[in-house]
Amino acid sequence: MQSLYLIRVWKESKILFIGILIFIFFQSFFIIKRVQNFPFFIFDMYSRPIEKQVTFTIYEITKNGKSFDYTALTNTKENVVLNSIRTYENAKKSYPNAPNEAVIEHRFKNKISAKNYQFIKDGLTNDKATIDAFGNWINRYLIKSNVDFSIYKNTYDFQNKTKTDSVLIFSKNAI
Amino acid sequence: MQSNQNTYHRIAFGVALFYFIFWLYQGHFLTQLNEPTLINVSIDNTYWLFCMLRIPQTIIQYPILFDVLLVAFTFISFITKNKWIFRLLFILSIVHIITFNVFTGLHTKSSVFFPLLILPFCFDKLFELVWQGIRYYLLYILVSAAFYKLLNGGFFHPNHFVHILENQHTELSILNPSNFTFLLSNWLIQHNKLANFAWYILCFMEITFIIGFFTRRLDTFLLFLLIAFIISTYFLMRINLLDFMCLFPFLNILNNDKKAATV
Repeated sequence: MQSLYLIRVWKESKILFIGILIFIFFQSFFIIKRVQNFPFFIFDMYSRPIEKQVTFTIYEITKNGKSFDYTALTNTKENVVLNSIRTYENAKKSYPNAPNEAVIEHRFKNKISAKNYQFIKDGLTNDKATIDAFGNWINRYLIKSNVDFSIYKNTYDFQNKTKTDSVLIFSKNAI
Repeated sequence: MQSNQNTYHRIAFGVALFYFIFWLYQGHFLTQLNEPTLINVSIDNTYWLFCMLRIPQTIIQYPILFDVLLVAFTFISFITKNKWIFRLLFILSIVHIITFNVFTGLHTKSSVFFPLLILPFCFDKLFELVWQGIRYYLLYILVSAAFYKLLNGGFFHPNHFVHILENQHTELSILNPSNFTFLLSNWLIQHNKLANFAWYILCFMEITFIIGFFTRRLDTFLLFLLIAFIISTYFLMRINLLDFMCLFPFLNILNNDKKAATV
Protein backbone atom coordinates (compact mmCIF):
# COMPACT_ATOMS: atom_id res chain seq x y z
CA MET A 1 0.00 0.00 0.00
CA GLN A 2 2.91 2.30 0.89
CA SER A 3 4.29 1.91 -2.64
CA LEU A 4 1.06 2.76 -4.52
CA TYR A 5 1.89 5.38 -7.11
CA LEU A 6 -0.56 8.08 -6.07
CA ILE A 7 0.38 7.69 -2.40
CA ARG A 8 4.07 8.13 -3.29
CA VAL A 9 3.18 11.23 -5.34
CA TRP A 10 1.13 12.63 -2.43
CA LYS A 11 4.08 12.13 -0.06
CA GLU A 12 6.70 13.64 -2.38
CA SER A 13 4.85 16.48 -4.11
CA LYS A 14 1.41 17.87 -3.32
CA ILE A 15 1.51 20.06 -6.46
CA LEU A 16 2.14 17.08 -8.75
CA PHE A 17 -0.59 15.15 -6.94
CA ILE A 18 -3.10 17.95 -7.56
CA GLY A 19 -1.91 18.22 -11.17
CA ILE A 20 -2.53 14.50 -11.71
CA LEU A 21 -6.00 14.75 -10.11
CA ILE A 22 -6.89 17.67 -12.42
CA PHE A 23 -5.69 15.64 -15.41
CA ILE A 24 -7.77 12.63 -14.30
CA PHE A 25 -10.80 14.90 -13.84
CA PHE A 26 -10.58 16.35 -17.35
CA GLN A 27 -9.78 12.95 -18.87
CA SER A 28 -12.94 11.55 -17.21
CA PHE A 29 -14.98 14.61 -18.21
CA PHE A 30 -14.11 14.27 -21.90
CA ILE A 31 -14.70 10.52 -21.82
CA ILE A 32 -18.22 11.14 -20.46
CA LYS A 33 -18.81 13.95 -23.01
CA ARG A 34 -17.31 11.70 -25.74
CA VAL A 35 -15.25 14.60 -27.06
CA GLN A 36 -11.67 14.40 -28.28
CA ASN A 37 -9.88 17.30 -26.70
CA PHE A 38 -6.11 17.78 -26.89
CA PRO A 39 -4.21 16.52 -24.87
CA PHE A 40 -6.75 14.09 -23.39
CA PHE A 41 -6.41 10.87 -25.35
CA ILE A 42 -9.52 8.69 -25.82
CA PHE A 43 -8.54 5.50 -27.63
CA ASP A 44 -12.05 4.30 -28.53
CA MET A 45 -11.61 3.88 -32.25
CA TYR A 46 -13.80 1.11 -33.71
CA SER A 47 -15.19 0.27 -30.27
CA ARG A 48 -18.80 0.68 -31.40
CA PRO A 49 -20.65 -1.83 -33.60
CA ILE A 50 -20.28 -1.32 -37.35
CA GLU A 51 -22.85 -2.66 -39.76
CA LYS A 52 -22.08 -3.89 -43.25
CA GLN A 53 -22.41 -1.03 -45.69
CA VAL A 54 -24.29 -1.11 -48.97
CA THR A 55 -22.29 1.71 -50.58
CA PHE A 56 -19.12 3.61 -49.83
CA THR A 57 -17.75 6.98 -50.89
CA ILE A 58 -14.18 7.93 -51.72
CA TYR A 59 -12.50 10.94 -53.30
CA GLU A 60 -11.02 10.55 -56.77
CA ILE A 61 -8.28 12.88 -57.96
CA THR A 62 -7.63 13.00 -61.68
CA LYS A 63 -4.57 14.49 -63.40
CA ASN A 64 -5.07 15.10 -67.12
CA GLY A 65 -8.14 12.85 -66.92
CA LYS A 66 -6.23 9.94 -65.35
CA SER A 67 -6.97 8.73 -61.82
CA PHE A 68 -4.19 9.49 -59.33
CA ASP A 69 -3.36 6.78 -56.76
CA TYR A 70 -3.02 8.76 -53.54
CA THR A 71 -2.83 5.53 -51.49
CA ALA A 72 0.79 5.33 -52.68
CA LEU A 73 1.59 8.48 -50.68
CA THR A 74 2.87 8.26 -47.12
CA ASN A 75 0.19 7.67 -44.52
CA THR A 76 0.34 11.27 -43.23
CA LYS A 77 0.35 12.84 -46.68
CA GLU A 78 -2.61 10.74 -47.81
CA ASN A 79 -4.56 11.78 -44.72
CA VAL A 80 -3.59 15.45 -45.17
CA VAL A 81 -4.88 15.38 -48.76
CA LEU A 82 -8.16 13.62 -47.89
CA ASN A 83 -8.89 15.70 -44.78
CA SER A 84 -8.11 18.95 -46.60
CA ILE A 85 -10.45 18.01 -49.44
CA ARG A 86 -13.13 17.22 -46.85
CA THR A 87 -12.56 20.58 -45.13
CA TYR A 88 -12.77 22.37 -48.51
CA GLU A 89 -15.92 20.49 -49.50
CA ASN A 90 -17.67 21.32 -46.21
CA ALA A 91 -16.55 24.98 -46.28
CA LYS A 92 -17.75 25.40 -49.87
CA LYS A 93 -21.04 23.61 -49.25
CA SER A 94 -22.01 25.73 -46.27
CA TYR A 95 -20.69 29.05 -47.64
CA PRO A 96 -21.44 31.94 -46.85
CA ASN A 97 -21.89 30.30 -43.42
CA ALA A 98 -19.10 28.29 -41.83
CA PRO A 99 -19.70 24.58 -41.13
CA ASN A 100 -19.24 25.25 -37.39
CA GLU A 101 -21.15 28.54 -37.36
CA ALA A 102 -24.09 27.20 -35.34
CA VAL A 103 -21.75 25.97 -32.59
CA ILE A 104 -19.89 29.31 -32.50
CA GLU A 105 -23.21 31.18 -32.26
CA HIS A 106 -24.45 28.88 -29.50
CA ARG A 107 -21.28 29.41 -27.48
CA PHE A 108 -20.61 33.11 -27.98
CA LYS A 109 -23.40 35.08 -29.67
CA ASN A 110 -25.11 37.65 -27.41
CA LYS A 111 -22.76 36.63 -24.61
CA ILE A 112 -19.94 38.96 -25.67
CA SER A 113 -19.77 42.20 -27.64
CA ALA A 114 -20.41 42.10 -31.40
CA LYS A 115 -16.82 43.16 -32.06
CA ASN A 116 -15.36 40.36 -29.90
CA TYR A 117 -17.79 37.85 -31.40
CA GLN A 118 -16.63 38.74 -34.90
CA PHE A 119 -12.98 38.43 -33.81
CA ILE A 120 -13.58 34.94 -32.39
CA LYS A 121 -15.59 33.85 -35.42
CA ASP A 122 -12.89 35.04 -37.82
CA GLY A 123 -10.32 33.00 -35.91
CA LEU A 124 -12.35 29.79 -36.13
CA THR A 125 -13.61 29.89 -39.71
CA ASN A 126 -12.30 30.08 -43.26
CA ASP A 127 -13.07 33.22 -45.27
CA LYS A 128 -13.75 33.22 -49.01
CA ALA A 129 -10.15 34.03 -49.91
CA THR A 130 -8.80 31.00 -48.04
CA ILE A 131 -11.46 28.72 -49.52
CA ASP A 132 -10.63 29.97 -53.02
CA ALA A 133 -6.90 29.47 -52.35
CA PHE A 134 -7.44 25.71 -51.84
CA GLY A 135 -6.86 24.94 -55.54
CA ASN A 136 -3.45 26.62 -55.59
CA TRP A 137 -2.50 24.87 -52.35
CA ILE A 138 -3.38 21.36 -53.55
CA ASN A 139 -1.47 22.10 -56.74
CA ARG A 140 1.61 23.06 -54.69
CA TYR A 141 1.21 20.17 -52.25
CA LEU A 142 0.19 17.28 -54.46
CA ILE A 143 -0.12 17.91 -58.19
CA LYS A 144 3.15 19.89 -58.56
CA SER A 145 2.76 20.50 -62.29
CA ASN A 146 0.78 22.66 -64.67
CA VAL A 147 -1.86 20.11 -65.72
CA ASP A 148 -5.65 19.85 -65.65
CA PHE A 149 -6.77 18.25 -62.42
CA SER A 150 -10.13 17.53 -60.80
CA ILE A 151 -11.44 16.11 -57.56
CA TYR A 152 -14.59 13.99 -57.48
CA LYS A 153 -16.56 12.41 -54.71
CA ASN A 154 -17.53 8.98 -56.01
CA THR A 155 -20.00 6.52 -54.56
CA TYR A 156 -19.53 2.80 -55.19
CA ASP A 157 -21.59 -0.30 -54.61
CA PHE A 158 -19.86 -2.28 -51.85
CA GLN A 159 -20.49 -5.68 -53.38
CA ASN A 160 -19.33 -5.29 -56.98
CA LYS A 161 -17.36 -2.01 -56.66
CA THR A 162 -19.27 -0.32 -59.49
CA LYS A 163 -19.56 3.47 -59.47
CA THR A 164 -23.11 4.59 -58.74
CA ASP A 165 -22.61 8.36 -58.35
CA SER A 166 -19.96 11.00 -58.99
CA VAL A 167 -19.94 14.63 -57.80
CA LEU A 168 -17.36 17.17 -58.95
CA ILE A 169 -15.77 18.85 -55.91
CA PHE A 170 -13.06 20.89 -57.59
CA SER A 171 -11.63 21.40 -61.05
CA LYS A 172 -8.70 23.40 -62.36
CA ASN A 173 -7.49 23.74 -65.91
CA ALA A 174 -3.83 24.06 -66.85
CA ILE A 175 -2.77 27.66 -67.57
CA MET B 1 19.12 7.35 -9.89
CA GLN B 2 21.29 9.96 -11.62
CA SER B 3 22.93 7.32 -13.84
CA ASN B 4 19.47 6.02 -14.73
CA GLN B 5 18.34 9.52 -15.58
CA ASN B 6 21.35 9.91 -17.90
CA THR B 7 20.47 6.66 -19.62
CA TYR B 8 16.84 7.77 -19.95
CA HIS B 9 18.15 11.01 -21.50
CA ARG B 10 20.08 9.09 -24.13
CA ILE B 11 17.21 6.72 -24.92
CA ALA B 12 14.65 9.55 -25.15
CA PHE B 13 17.00 11.64 -27.31
CA GLY B 14 17.48 8.70 -29.67
CA VAL B 15 13.72 8.18 -29.91
CA ALA B 16 13.15 11.92 -30.54
CA LEU B 17 15.68 11.95 -33.38
CA PHE B 18 14.20 8.81 -34.92
CA TYR B 19 10.74 10.37 -34.58
CA PHE B 20 11.90 13.45 -36.50
CA ILE B 21 13.27 11.23 -39.30
CA PHE B 22 9.87 9.52 -39.34
CA TRP B 23 8.20 12.96 -39.51
CA LEU B 24 10.46 14.01 -42.38
CA TYR B 25 9.59 10.85 -44.30
CA GLN B 26 5.86 11.19 -43.59
CA GLY B 27 5.74 14.92 -44.37
CA HIS B 28 4.92 16.07 -40.87
CA PHE B 29 7.04 19.24 -40.70
CA LEU B 30 5.20 22.51 -41.26
CA THR B 31 7.48 23.41 -44.18
CA GLN B 32 6.36 20.25 -45.96
CA LEU B 33 2.75 21.47 -45.96
CA ASN B 34 3.51 24.08 -48.66
CA GLU B 35 1.66 27.01 -47.09
CA PRO B 36 -1.78 25.53 -46.37
CA THR B 37 -4.75 27.87 -46.22
CA LEU B 38 -7.81 26.12 -44.77
CA ILE B 39 -8.20 25.58 -41.04
CA ASN B 40 -10.30 22.89 -39.37
CA VAL B 41 -10.80 23.26 -35.63
CA SER B 42 -13.39 20.49 -35.30
CA ILE B 43 -14.94 20.51 -31.81
CA ASP B 44 -11.64 20.40 -29.92
CA ASN B 45 -11.71 23.16 -27.29
CA THR B 46 -7.91 23.44 -27.19
CA TYR B 47 -7.79 24.00 -30.96
CA TRP B 48 -10.55 26.59 -30.60
CA LEU B 49 -8.57 28.46 -27.97
CA PHE B 50 -5.36 28.40 -30.01
CA CYS B 51 -7.16 29.61 -33.14
CA MET B 52 -9.07 32.34 -31.28
CA LEU B 53 -5.67 33.60 -30.12
CA ARG B 54 -4.42 33.31 -33.75
CA ILE B 55 -1.47 31.14 -32.69
CA PRO B 56 -1.55 28.53 -35.53
CA GLN B 57 -2.39 31.27 -38.05
CA THR B 58 0.77 33.14 -36.98
CA ILE B 59 3.05 30.09 -36.74
CA ILE B 60 2.15 28.86 -40.23
CA GLN B 61 3.55 32.07 -41.71
CA TYR B 62 7.02 31.07 -40.47
CA PRO B 63 7.09 27.29 -41.05
CA ILE B 64 10.85 26.94 -41.55
CA LEU B 65 11.58 28.97 -38.43
CA PHE B 66 9.35 26.81 -36.22
CA ASP B 67 10.59 23.52 -37.73
CA VAL B 68 14.18 24.58 -37.13
CA LEU B 69 13.35 25.80 -33.62
CA LEU B 70 11.71 22.49 -32.73
CA VAL B 71 14.67 20.41 -33.91
CA ALA B 72 17.25 22.84 -32.49
CA PHE B 73 15.56 22.98 -29.08
CA THR B 74 15.45 19.17 -29.03
CA PHE B 75 19.22 19.00 -29.58
CA ILE B 76 20.00 21.82 -27.14
CA SER B 77 17.73 20.51 -24.38
CA PHE B 78 19.02 16.93 -24.51
CA ILE B 79 22.65 18.10 -24.71
CA THR B 80 22.42 20.72 -21.94
CA LYS B 81 19.89 18.71 -19.87
CA ASN B 82 18.48 22.02 -18.68
CA LYS B 83 14.92 21.70 -17.38
CA TRP B 84 14.00 25.22 -18.55
CA ILE B 85 15.03 24.46 -22.14
CA PHE B 86 13.03 21.23 -21.90
CA ARG B 87 10.05 23.30 -20.73
CA LEU B 88 10.40 25.58 -23.75
CA LEU B 89 10.67 22.52 -25.98
CA PHE B 90 7.54 21.08 -24.36
CA ILE B 91 5.54 24.23 -25.17
CA LEU B 92 7.05 24.52 -28.64
CA SER B 93 6.16 20.91 -29.48
CA ILE B 94 2.53 21.44 -28.42
CA VAL B 95 2.24 24.61 -30.51
CA HIS B 96 3.87 22.87 -33.50
CA ILE B 97 1.57 19.84 -33.29
CA ILE B 98 -1.61 21.89 -32.89
CA THR B 99 -0.63 24.11 -35.83
CA PHE B 100 -0.08 21.04 -38.00
CA ASN B 101 -3.36 19.46 -36.93
CA VAL B 102 -5.41 22.64 -37.40
CA PHE B 103 -4.10 23.26 -40.93
CA THR B 104 -4.49 19.67 -42.08
CA GLY B 105 -7.76 18.71 -40.41
CA LEU B 106 -5.74 15.72 -39.25
CA HIS B 107 -6.64 15.53 -35.60
CA THR B 108 -4.39 12.63 -34.75
CA LYS B 109 -5.09 11.71 -31.15
CA SER B 110 -1.66 10.19 -30.60
CA SER B 111 0.18 13.39 -31.54
CA VAL B 112 0.22 14.18 -27.81
CA PHE B 113 2.87 11.49 -27.28
CA PHE B 114 5.85 13.60 -28.36
CA PRO B 115 5.24 16.26 -25.67
CA LEU B 116 4.78 13.40 -23.19
CA LEU B 117 8.27 12.13 -24.08
CA ILE B 118 9.65 15.56 -23.17
CA LEU B 119 7.59 16.10 -20.00
CA PRO B 120 9.63 14.14 -17.39
CA PHE B 121 12.79 16.06 -18.32
CA CYS B 122 11.03 19.32 -17.40
CA PHE B 123 11.48 18.30 -13.75
CA ASP B 124 14.57 17.61 -11.66
CA LYS B 125 13.40 16.13 -8.35
CA LEU B 126 10.12 14.81 -9.70
CA PHE B 127 11.65 13.18 -12.79
CA GLU B 128 11.10 9.60 -11.66
CA LEU B 129 7.51 10.23 -10.50
CA VAL B 130 6.52 11.96 -13.74
CA TRP B 131 8.27 9.22 -15.74
CA GLN B 132 6.26 6.55 -13.91
CA GLY B 133 3.07 8.61 -14.29
CA ILE B 134 3.45 8.66 -18.06
CA ARG B 135 4.16 4.93 -18.05
CA TYR B 136 0.81 4.44 -16.25
CA TYR B 137 -0.88 6.73 -18.78
CA LEU B 138 0.44 4.60 -21.65
CA LEU B 139 -0.87 1.47 -19.94
CA TYR B 140 -4.21 3.18 -19.30
CA ILE B 141 -4.56 4.17 -22.97
CA LEU B 142 -4.03 0.62 -24.20
CA VAL B 143 -6.13 -1.10 -21.54
CA SER B 144 -8.94 1.44 -21.94
CA ALA B 145 -9.05 0.65 -25.67
CA ALA B 146 -10.01 -2.93 -24.79
CA PHE B 147 -12.58 -1.77 -22.21
CA TYR B 148 -14.17 0.64 -24.71
CA LYS B 149 -14.67 -2.28 -27.09
CA LEU B 150 -16.33 -4.28 -24.31
CA LEU B 151 -18.51 -1.41 -23.04
CA ASN B 152 -19.48 0.03 -26.44
CA GLY B 153 -20.35 -3.35 -27.92
CA GLY B 154 -17.74 -3.61 -30.65
CA PHE B 155 -16.09 -6.64 -29.04
CA PHE B 156 -19.14 -8.90 -29.30
CA HIS B 157 -20.57 -7.54 -32.55
CA PRO B 158 -20.77 -10.27 -35.23
CA ASN B 159 -18.10 -9.94 -37.92
CA HIS B 160 -17.01 -6.59 -36.47
CA PHE B 161 -13.45 -6.93 -37.72
CA VAL B 162 -14.65 -7.91 -41.22
CA HIS B 163 -16.57 -4.63 -41.40
CA ILE B 164 -13.56 -2.68 -40.08
CA LEU B 165 -11.35 -4.24 -42.75
CA GLU B 166 -13.89 -3.37 -45.44
CA ASN B 167 -14.07 0.25 -44.23
CA GLN B 168 -10.33 0.70 -43.96
CA HIS B 169 -9.63 -0.52 -47.49
CA THR B 170 -12.29 1.25 -49.56
CA GLU B 171 -9.74 3.53 -51.28
CA LEU B 172 -7.36 0.65 -52.00
CA SER B 173 -10.18 -1.49 -53.40
CA ILE B 174 -10.68 1.11 -56.15
CA LEU B 175 -7.29 2.76 -56.60
CA ASN B 176 -4.83 -0.06 -55.97
CA PRO B 177 -6.49 -3.48 -55.58
CA SER B 178 -3.14 -5.28 -56.03
CA ASN B 179 -1.77 -3.69 -52.85
CA PHE B 180 -0.44 -6.21 -50.31
CA THR B 181 -2.47 -4.94 -47.34
CA PHE B 182 -5.64 -4.97 -49.45
CA LEU B 183 -5.00 -8.55 -50.58
CA LEU B 184 -4.33 -9.56 -46.97
CA SER B 185 -7.52 -7.91 -45.70
CA ASN B 186 -9.53 -9.35 -48.59
CA TRP B 187 -8.31 -12.83 -47.69
CA LEU B 188 -9.33 -12.26 -44.07
CA ILE B 189 -12.73 -10.91 -45.14
CA GLN B 190 -13.31 -14.12 -47.11
CA HIS B 191 -12.21 -16.20 -44.09
CA ASN B 192 -14.32 -14.40 -41.52
CA LYS B 193 -13.62 -16.92 -38.73
CA LEU B 194 -9.94 -16.05 -38.98
CA ALA B 195 -10.83 -12.33 -39.08
CA ASN B 196 -12.87 -12.73 -35.89
CA PHE B 197 -9.97 -14.61 -34.31
CA ALA B 198 -7.57 -11.77 -35.30
CA TRP B 199 -9.98 -9.26 -33.70
CA TYR B 200 -10.00 -11.15 -30.39
CA ILE B 201 -6.19 -11.43 -30.51
CA LEU B 202 -5.87 -7.64 -31.01
CA CYS B 203 -8.27 -6.96 -28.10
CA PHE B 204 -6.40 -9.50 -25.96
CA MET B 205 -3.12 -7.73 -26.78
CA GLU B 206 -4.64 -4.46 -25.49
CA ILE B 207 -6.00 -5.95 -22.27
CA THR B 208 -2.65 -7.67 -21.60
CA PHE B 209 -1.13 -4.28 -20.77
CA ILE B 210 -3.10 -4.40 -17.49
CA ILE B 211 -0.17 -6.50 -16.20
CA GLY B 212 1.92 -3.33 -16.20
CA PHE B 213 -0.22 -1.87 -13.40
CA PHE B 214 0.92 -4.64 -11.05
CA THR B 215 4.55 -5.21 -12.01
CA ARG B 216 7.33 -3.61 -13.99
CA ARG B 217 9.18 -6.89 -14.42
CA LEU B 218 7.38 -7.64 -17.69
CA ASP B 219 7.94 -4.26 -19.31
CA THR B 220 10.29 -5.67 -21.95
CA PHE B 221 7.60 -8.18 -22.92
CA LEU B 222 5.01 -5.37 -23.01
CA LEU B 223 7.33 -3.30 -25.20
CA PHE B 224 7.57 -6.12 -27.76
CA LEU B 225 3.81 -6.63 -27.49
CA LEU B 226 3.27 -2.94 -28.25
CA ILE B 227 5.57 -3.16 -31.29
CA ALA B 228 3.67 -6.24 -32.49
CA PHE B 229 0.37 -4.37 -31.97
CA ILE B 230 1.58 -1.38 -34.01
CA ILE B 231 2.80 -3.60 -36.87
CA SER B 232 -0.46 -5.61 -36.85
CA THR B 233 -2.72 -2.56 -36.97
CA TYR B 234 -0.66 -1.10 -39.82
CA PHE B 235 -0.67 -4.18 -42.03
CA LEU B 236 -4.22 -5.26 -41.22
CA MET B 237 -6.02 -1.93 -40.97
CA ARG B 238 -3.69 0.68 -42.52
CA ILE B 239 -3.77 2.53 -39.19
CA ASN B 240 -0.46 4.19 -38.43
CA LEU B 241 0.22 4.09 -34.69
CA LEU B 242 3.92 4.93 -34.93
CA ASP B 243 3.40 7.96 -32.65
CA PHE B 244 3.46 5.33 -29.93
CA MET B 245 7.22 5.06 -30.47
CA CYS B 246 7.55 8.18 -28.30
CA LEU B 247 6.29 6.11 -25.38
CA PHE B 248 8.60 3.12 -25.99
CA PRO B 249 11.22 4.39 -23.49
CA PHE B 250 8.63 4.33 -20.70
CA LEU B 251 8.46 0.54 -20.98
CA ASN B 252 12.21 0.17 -21.05
CA ILE B 253 13.14 -0.88 -17.56
CA LEU B 254 16.86 -0.64 -16.88
CA ASN B 255 18.76 -3.59 -15.44
CA ASN B 256 19.64 -1.92 -12.14
CA ASP B 257 16.01 -0.97 -11.67
CA LYS B 258 14.77 -4.52 -11.89
CA LYS B 259 15.23 -5.33 -8.22
CA ALA B 260 12.82 -2.56 -7.40
CA ALA B 261 10.56 -3.28 -10.28
CA THR B 262 7.37 -3.75 -8.37
CA VAL B 263 4.65 -1.17 -8.24
